[in-house]
Amino acid sequence: MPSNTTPRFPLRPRVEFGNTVITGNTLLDGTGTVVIIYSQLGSDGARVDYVRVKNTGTAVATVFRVFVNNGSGTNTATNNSLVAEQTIAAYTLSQTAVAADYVIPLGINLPPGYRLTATVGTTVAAALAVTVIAGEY
Amino acid sequence: MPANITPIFPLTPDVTVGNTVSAANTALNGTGTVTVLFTAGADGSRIDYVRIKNTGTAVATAFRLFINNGGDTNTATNNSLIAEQAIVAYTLSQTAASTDYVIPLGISIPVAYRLTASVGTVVATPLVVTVVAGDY
Repeated sequence: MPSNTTPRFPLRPRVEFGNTVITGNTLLDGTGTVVIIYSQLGSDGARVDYVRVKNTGTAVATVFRVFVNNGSGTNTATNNSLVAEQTIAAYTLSQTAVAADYVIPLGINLPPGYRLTATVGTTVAAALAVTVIAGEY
Repeated sequence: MPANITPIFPLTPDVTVGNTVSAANTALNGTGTVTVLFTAGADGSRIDYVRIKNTGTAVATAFRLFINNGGDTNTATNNSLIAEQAIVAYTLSQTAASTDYVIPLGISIPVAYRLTASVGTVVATPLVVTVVAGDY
């Protein structure tokens, strides 16, 4: 058996930021309006450590959902898997009190081409900012 | 004995998405209606864990995970029940998250071996299952 005897480590750190989620999507199969929060630049796969979510302004409560997509069309349910959810509490913007830091640990190795997508259950007036901490092989 | 003294590591990430389980199967021997979640690669695979999520309102059930040796799943001796997870009743919400169910496995399986799954009761909306693994 031509087994691999060399451990693999991420070669290029990746922090994907600037993606925002705002529009409500009540589907739990990864179809409809989704935001691609992580897509690979390389072709050797990636290690996703965790996802961070922050309010950017006053917003109602919602649920934040993370899906793994196999790189094909997100509107086909069998291309997606719901892998994590996070309850996001209602938030009123403050300049003296901090909002919650939502951290979703994943610890997942993605094959080449696979992506992470996200939705929220209800439309939020001010978007959620999403940062994905990863590394590419 | 010509034992291997060199550790081996997964070479290619392998994550299966989009598999769902919804039909009831009361057998605990891996026969009957099961969903094939994962098939090992040509050199075997290392399975880290399995994640399960509700995709809508559903009754409580038991999620069951089997290893199959690549033979017919309807032959009980080809299967082993290796893990169960109680899934609580869930009512769909757009403001509260459902439970993230994670079944750690840490198991290396030979070529052609598979993971299959069933649920004990019919669930109105399926459970979606993601297998996080790597192929040797």
